Amino acid sequence: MKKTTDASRIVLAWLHAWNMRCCPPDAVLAGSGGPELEAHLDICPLCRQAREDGLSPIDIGLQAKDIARRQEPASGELWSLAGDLAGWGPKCRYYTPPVVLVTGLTPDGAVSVVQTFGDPLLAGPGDVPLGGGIIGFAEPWNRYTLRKEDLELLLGAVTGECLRQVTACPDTPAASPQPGSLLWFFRHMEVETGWYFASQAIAGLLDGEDAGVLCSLDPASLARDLGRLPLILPDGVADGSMPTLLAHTMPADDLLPHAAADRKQEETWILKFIVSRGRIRDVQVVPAMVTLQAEEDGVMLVSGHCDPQQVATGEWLFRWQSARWSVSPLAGQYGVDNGVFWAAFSVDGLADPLQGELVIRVLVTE
Amino acid sequence: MSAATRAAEALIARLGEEDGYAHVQRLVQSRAIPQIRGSALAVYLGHRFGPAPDGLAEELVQEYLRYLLEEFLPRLGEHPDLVTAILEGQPNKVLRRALDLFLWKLRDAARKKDNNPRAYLYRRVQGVLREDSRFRLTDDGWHYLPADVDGEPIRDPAAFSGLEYGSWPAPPDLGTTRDTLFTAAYLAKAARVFHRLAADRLGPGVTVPVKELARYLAAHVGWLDRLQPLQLTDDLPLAAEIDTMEEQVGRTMAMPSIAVLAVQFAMGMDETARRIFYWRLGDPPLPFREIAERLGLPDHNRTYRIYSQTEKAMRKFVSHWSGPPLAELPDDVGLAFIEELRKICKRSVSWP
Repeated sequence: MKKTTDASRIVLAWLHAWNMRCCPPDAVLAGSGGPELEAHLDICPLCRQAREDGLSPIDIGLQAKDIARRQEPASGELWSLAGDLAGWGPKCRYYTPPVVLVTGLTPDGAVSVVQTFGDPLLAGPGDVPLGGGIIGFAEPWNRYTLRKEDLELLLGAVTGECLRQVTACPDTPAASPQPGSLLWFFRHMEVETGWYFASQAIAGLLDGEDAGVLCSLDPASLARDLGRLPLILPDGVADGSMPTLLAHTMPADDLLPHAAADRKQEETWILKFIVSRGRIRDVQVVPAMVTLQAEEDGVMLVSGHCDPQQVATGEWLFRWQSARWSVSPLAGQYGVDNGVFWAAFSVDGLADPLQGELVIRVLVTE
Repeated sequence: MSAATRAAEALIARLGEEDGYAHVQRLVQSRAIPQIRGSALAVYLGHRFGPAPDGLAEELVQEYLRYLLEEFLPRLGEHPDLVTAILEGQPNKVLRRALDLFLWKLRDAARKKDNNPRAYLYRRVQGVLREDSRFRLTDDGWHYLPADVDGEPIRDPAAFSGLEYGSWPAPPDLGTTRDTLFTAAYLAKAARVFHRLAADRLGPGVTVPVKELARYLAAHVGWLDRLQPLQLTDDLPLAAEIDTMEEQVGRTMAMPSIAVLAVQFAMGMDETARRIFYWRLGDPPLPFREIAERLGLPDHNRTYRIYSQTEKAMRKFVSHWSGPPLAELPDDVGLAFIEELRKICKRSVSWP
């Protein structure tokens, strides 16, 4: 007979997951508050209830950093992240560091990790049980890079079998959860949590705001490479940065589909750059649809979709842009999921934000 | 010494201090008592701990502390995320989690056939009638009606209150085997007999509350109300939950999806907001003035204000969901969320 899990167990598991990933520590919750806490309380009935409980924070006289020992991490170990990486972030959440499984180290001090979660009730396809007497699972679809010094406390080790499976797993699981299912929401929350910590580490590792393919581009030859393609380059860009140059580069007419001249308002296109060994070799126009454009409280939210096959493995660059200005999305408030894209921009202070339009560039490595 | 042991010992030492017990007491009072008040678990615990509400709370505190100190914290090493939480200024989060798991264990134990046969019977009746095409069970699972009854169903649960079933004709004979009571064939027969007896008194179309059927059977089958002492199993609930990853994944994929987020949002709505929301989401929606009259509020302004505040809070809640915005999800996601929310609110309206 097929086993079923009581719905209220699932509710309990989800609320615990939300509480662990998105809610502030006891002292912040019991404190006098600030705008971040106020905004969080607006969306979090759990924390509102907890505040009503009036439970005072407990000081157990011991912190992770007191008992942390300086030691080299090794593959297969579970580590907590340094407490000072925690903090308020996008979507009115307090980002509490997750426990991560170390899967590799590089000589320059970077550590590859896979995020873990402690309640097997929320496991799905592609997840790997930790084993070794530890309850929970590793999320091979949620890998990122941290600095060695981001790891704080050794909490145990998984079995060799778990590490082998995690290492062998593809980044994208064979079966994705159905959009809108609880597992889908959970996985997005996990990725958003990982992103918060990974982005801090990447900024430190690369000592700059951009990483990945964009970072690998050779700035000296970028304008020349673009000039060889059917593109119209701007006369110059204010900040002189590579992302801004790419954002202002437009396709020449013969690259655009014929219908583009009288395109409907919601139709748009994405410029897809093919990159090989630090140089842009080719460019394509990928048709896309903008399905939502809404401004509220000084934030412009735009979303839409395109054929996921055409841009599956690319690095995305979003801008809200007019002839006079170009705005990057708010930290952590943009993303792509199976061809669906979204980005939120702060448009406070712009003279005429509605004059802008969404600009998307995708860099794909050959 | 491992980080888990040090974290557990530090928390145990802290709870052992003068104000530690009061802290746990406060947690149980504020979080556990409202959750179980009026539930089958409270009835069960009342039998075990005595009827006085304060006595119940005190016993619960003791029992929870025992669970915490003897079961949960000694096995903290199995949960590295909770170790971190204790060491990163979140012991209250962990104490709440432990309390939720403890209550779940109690609830689980209180539902078992041997521990609490009447509570088990109640759920069993719902299961049997749901599967049996000869009966119609209401969506909420609280009332039934034989499918062959003609005419308009009459739903009047209040008509059953105070009925003494001991003087009613007995249910079908159980024979010699006690567990016959829980079989589908017996329960279907008993459900039909009880409906006929109720219909003779209250009219042929009367829908019967499932709990009244259970009460009727208990009035004639003495052992149904005999509760056994609560036996908790030794396993931590989380550990007990693990079978194989395949089984786990099968369950997770089948999990009710958007319903859970609706529950999360509804946690922040009080009774009044839930009722207003339910009536406004009806087809057709009730006018604010009529809602105000039903709720005994002086005028429609207040109902309108509560409704718009709730609607605004819901929009904010949804806009902070994980992943892409709602507009990019399939249409049925938003609709399912609203429908689930409506169901949750309906319970507040049906059972004041």
